[in-house]
Amino acid sequence: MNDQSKSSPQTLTLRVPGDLLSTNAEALRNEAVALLEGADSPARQWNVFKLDLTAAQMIDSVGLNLIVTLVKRVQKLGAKFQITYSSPNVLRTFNFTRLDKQVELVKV
Amino acid sequence: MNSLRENPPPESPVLGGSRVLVVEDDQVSRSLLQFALAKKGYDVAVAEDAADAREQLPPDRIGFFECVVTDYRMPESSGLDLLDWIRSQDPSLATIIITAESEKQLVTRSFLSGAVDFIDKPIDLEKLHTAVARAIQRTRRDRRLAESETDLRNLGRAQAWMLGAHAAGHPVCADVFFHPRHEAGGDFFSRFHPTPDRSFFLLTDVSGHDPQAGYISAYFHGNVRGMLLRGAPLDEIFADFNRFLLEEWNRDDALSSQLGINTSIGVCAIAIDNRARNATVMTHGMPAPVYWLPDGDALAVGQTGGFPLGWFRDFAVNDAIQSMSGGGSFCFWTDGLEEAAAKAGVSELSLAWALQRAKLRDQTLAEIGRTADDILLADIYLGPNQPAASFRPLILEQYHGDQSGEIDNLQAFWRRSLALAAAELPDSMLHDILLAAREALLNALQHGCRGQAGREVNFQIAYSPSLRTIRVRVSDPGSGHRFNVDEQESRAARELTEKHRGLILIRHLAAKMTFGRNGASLTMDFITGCHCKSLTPQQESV
Repeated sequence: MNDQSKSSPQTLTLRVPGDLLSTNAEALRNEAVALLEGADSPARQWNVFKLDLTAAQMIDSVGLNLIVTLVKRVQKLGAKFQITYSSPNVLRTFNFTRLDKQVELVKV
Repeated sequence: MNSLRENPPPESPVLGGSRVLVVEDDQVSRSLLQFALAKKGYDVAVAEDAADAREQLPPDRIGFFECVVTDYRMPESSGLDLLDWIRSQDPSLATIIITAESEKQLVTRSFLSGAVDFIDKPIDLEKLHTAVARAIQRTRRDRRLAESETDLRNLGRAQAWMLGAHAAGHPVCADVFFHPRHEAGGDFFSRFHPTPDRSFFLLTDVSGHDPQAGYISAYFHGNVRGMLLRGAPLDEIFADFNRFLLEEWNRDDALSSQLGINTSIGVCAIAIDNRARNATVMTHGMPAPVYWLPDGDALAVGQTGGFPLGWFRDFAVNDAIQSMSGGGSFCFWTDGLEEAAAKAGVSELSLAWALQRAKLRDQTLAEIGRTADDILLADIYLGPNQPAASFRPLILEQYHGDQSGEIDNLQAFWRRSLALAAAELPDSMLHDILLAAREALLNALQHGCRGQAGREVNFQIAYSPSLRTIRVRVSDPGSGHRFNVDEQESRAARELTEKHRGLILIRHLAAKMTFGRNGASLTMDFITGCHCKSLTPQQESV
């Protein structure tokens, strides 16, 4: 998976290159865990974790569960979880599952 | 017409009497050409210029001429202009251009325009005779080919007419689609109604795509019709034709080898007993037909494959009986449809439906391109017409329990199939169908089949355009289990739990979902223009 992560002083970003599905969620999970572990130090600068889903058209239940895992982990760190998206289908999926109540959704 | 006729000389008996038009504005040259050709036995007409030539070649007379010899340089209109006009009127009429030495550059252009030959001035009479004889042979050959093509087209039209012929008012009806690779092919469909209660539908695929294949196919269907009317059982008819192919038609002798005769026939027959409300299906070397109920629930009936007639003496009867007590319909096809569907990466049923829907047909044929084989398919409905509100299967697949890793490819296959057969679906609905189908299949593979290759999931997608509904059915061999979806959904949202999130998704994506067999079978409905967000999802246990 061609995940790209980048950090600004306040935001840690994980970009998903396409759909977030059962077939690529595990690889992305490993990327995300490594990213968070690397950034989870007492001196961490970021206070917003941004999951960039602007390239995604579909998210399935395994992808949603990955997001849930990341949300819990980021919340535990006391940081904010933000998701950027572009597809209306992705937004509907978050609405169905009420994840829109747990994270900040930003349309790009 | 100015014509000079002399007795043909004995040295040119083959082409003697052929009508040739000489177009030359110079009177001396014209007379010389006329005399020289007439002396060879040709029936020679002459014209002073291109306009005169056009007058002498009206549509009802141009076919009498077999060669035109025209000067290039003429007043008003050149020989090449006349050549263009002749090509537009009768492309088979060979034309020779006469050019001067200074007009050599015209030779290439003349050939590109369709001239068969050219002659230099001053004219060498021997070369003239050779060129005219060659041109006449070319005209005759091209006209024979054109006649053959016309005959083939007429044969194809007759074949298409026979395929479309329908016994009006009969309690069982059929819709047929035929797309031959050539003008006429070896695929054939027949329907017989020996009594009001009995109907036979016969689909055959003869090896080859030529008129010989069409001939043997028509012969076979005629035999079947006659023997059926005499009360012979279908299995005996097929066995007899198998013997005929092996012992008579495909006999291994010098003549059959010379003619290239080696024929086999794939055949699928559906015999419907309208009183008993059942159908007997027989297949030999053909895909198994698909039967479906008005609610779209579908299954393949009988065996796919087996040997076609004409291969082996051992003849096993492959038959299956399907109850039609709930009504229902059949669709069956020749393997040309399977090849075209595989090439397009879509299901056979979705391609069949796209071809049967007049409004999708032209685009579908353009998309699948030139097929390697004939495509013939037929739908059979119990009733005088196709039922308006029933579902039609678009995808019918069996997936093995260990296929979870292929889910992206399966989803892409569903997407292509739906985009072809239900092109009017909005993008958001297509997304919901695909996502819900993905979730349901993954659940069935992982839980119902426990990931085991030996266990299978039955997966179906059906469409009712009149109800504007797509119906997805997923059934696994497991025992299912019950749980409270409302409670799980609230908990998942409140506590961010991960359990049953797929089912929670489906519940919101589908307008209606119905469980069967304690949850081992799931049916989901998606309705066009009736988005799930505006509906209260219905849950039913059956």
